Amino acid sequence: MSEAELNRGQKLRDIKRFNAKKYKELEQRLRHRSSPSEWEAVMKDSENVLEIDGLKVHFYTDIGTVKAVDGASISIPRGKSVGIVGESGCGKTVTSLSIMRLLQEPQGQIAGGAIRFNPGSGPAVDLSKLPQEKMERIRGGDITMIFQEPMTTLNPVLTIGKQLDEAVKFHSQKNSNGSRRIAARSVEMLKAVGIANAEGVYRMHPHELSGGMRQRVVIAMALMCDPKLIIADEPTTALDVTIQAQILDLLRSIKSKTDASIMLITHDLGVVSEMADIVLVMYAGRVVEQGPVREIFHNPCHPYTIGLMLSRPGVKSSGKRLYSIPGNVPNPVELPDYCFFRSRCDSSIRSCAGAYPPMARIDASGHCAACYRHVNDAGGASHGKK
Amino acid sequence: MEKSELMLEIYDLKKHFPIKKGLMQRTAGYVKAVDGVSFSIKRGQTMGLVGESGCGKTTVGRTLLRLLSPTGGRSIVDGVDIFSLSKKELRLMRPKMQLIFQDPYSSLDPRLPIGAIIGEAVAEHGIAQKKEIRDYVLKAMQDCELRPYQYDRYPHEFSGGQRQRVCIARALALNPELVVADEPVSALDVSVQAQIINLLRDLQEKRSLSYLFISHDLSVVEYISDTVGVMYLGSLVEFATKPELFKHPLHPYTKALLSAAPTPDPDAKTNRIVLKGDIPSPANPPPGCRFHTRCPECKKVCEEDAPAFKEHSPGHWASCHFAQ
Repeated sequence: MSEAELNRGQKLRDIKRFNAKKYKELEQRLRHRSSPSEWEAVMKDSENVLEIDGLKVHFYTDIGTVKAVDGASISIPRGKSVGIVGESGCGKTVTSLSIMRLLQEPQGQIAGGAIRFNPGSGPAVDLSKLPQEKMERIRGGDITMIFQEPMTTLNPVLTIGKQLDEAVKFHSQKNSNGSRRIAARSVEMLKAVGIANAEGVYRMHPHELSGGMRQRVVIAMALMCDPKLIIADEPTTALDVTIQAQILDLLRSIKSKTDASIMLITHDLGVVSEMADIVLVMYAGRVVEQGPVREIFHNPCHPYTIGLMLSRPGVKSSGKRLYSIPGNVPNPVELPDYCFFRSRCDSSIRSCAGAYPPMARIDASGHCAACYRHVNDAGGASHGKK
Repeated sequence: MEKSELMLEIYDLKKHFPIKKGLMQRTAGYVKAVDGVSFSIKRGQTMGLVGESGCGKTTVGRTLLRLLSPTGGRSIVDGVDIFSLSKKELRLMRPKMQLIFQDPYSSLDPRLPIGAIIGEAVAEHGIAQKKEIRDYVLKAMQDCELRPYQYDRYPHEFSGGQRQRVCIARALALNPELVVADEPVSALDVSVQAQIINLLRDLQEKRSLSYLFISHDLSVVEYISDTVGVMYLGSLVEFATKPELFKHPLHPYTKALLSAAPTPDPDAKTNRIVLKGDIPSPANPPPGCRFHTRCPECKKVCEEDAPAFKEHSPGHWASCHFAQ
């Protein structure tokens, strides 16, 4: 065997040993009976429903540790909708799964940071440290999720009614809720999401419904228990344009009727601009820019956001060559220690070779970007070329 | 032979799929996936074909290349009626017309290195001598911005965008004149999508290709096409040049489709026409105008009479009783 092969074998063995250690640590953590003092938390701002603070999610794979989310901070105010945009692999879905604690364990683990959730009544909790049985109460009750693919979200062998009732039966505190009253609520919910033949649909199986109808059912399910936070992970990606318009209309009316916050995850800039109050742009596991929707679309500051907007074909670009961001997303196993976007950035400056840029404030509206061109103390570098 | 101005003409194209039922596999009816579609593409131009899933746009693309046997109609590629050709003659025509598929993850053989994937059809059609195939493939790869060292790599080593480049290189290695691109960028991220669209445009300019660009994404179609056809439930409801169609849509379905696409501008005023309901089943299409079940401007005549596909202004065709 050559030396290179030997080294490679050694490296793989090291990775395996490291992963086994991590799996064991997780097992011990799960077995440990934690006391409330360990998972109770204090919100930084009591107006926020959810505060994610420096979240790190690592996947311990056979080729090394994939840092899917690497220090993302997101806060979601009450009653607002927050849009998270980014390309595939940027960590947006992993972030939402870690809020729900649905990561594929033991490979995927929350390696650091806090996810503080404010249920309104009672003290705030840190979801990343909450014991399983407490988490089950919150998942599907106070925090619900709308998944991308309505075909696979619903159980094909149960009727729509059974699946809707199940959520209420599991989460309602009192046992006084008779099954007839629960059924009535399910039908009412189906009507609320714009299903005309609600009683009929209540008795149907998922395969009898079209994609748009199924997504309505999934939304009804998410609303059953009066959630505080709805996570919608690409809710319209699998749907046709005219059906997408229907579902977006529905989500908008829900937003105005309930006081639930919505976390909308999508790759479609058009959907975000219509639905969200606050927009976050993610790249390679980090938030690179955030701010109110108008600010982000009219005054994008991070070169990645600008590139993303320019590469969308549209009326303005017709006839011209489309802008395309050069290069590829960095390898998530070996992320550099400088700005992750530097190798693709056409406006990088000298300080970009330094540590990963901090979030720099652009203006008072809460618009921030992680880019050295906007860090003021970089010596007036904000307009200089490299 | 003098080359005609039209690269592709199809007349009244039909493709019906039988519905088999019971033990004896008796034909219980037909899904009219494509039911009377006619259009033409000029040499060197791009026609965009839009519509929602299940409207038959992919079936149009496959039937006109005779990858599916047609139920009726004519498809004329470069002056040759390909539905009347024998198998042998059709084979000689194949290099002229190529297809790019939607999903670059499933349209490449995972067990072949990409050099072999691209070279297979080149050798099969005798486009290059056996000894020269490697150089020929490398040249084709270079045209699609793939690197020579990737010749011996396998599809799983590539990202989605690079795989789509391989698919494009495979199609274009045969020097086609007509390329049917079936949702070539739908499975890709926005920034990669831009790279592939630019590549398709560059190749078109260099080789004066004609594209039939099938997509459900209006912004991509608006960007790349010269003419646009809109399909609904197996038939073409509107056909016009791109600026005409996007500025003066005649058919209510086109209007709804255009207004439904979300715009990336938070200040844009949305006068959205939201259609009610879903697409009816193509096995049992509604009588009269096929769109009348969802049409916001539906009148009594629409439920009874199917409107003809008429030319309302030069080059602008639509099938609606009230189009003007």
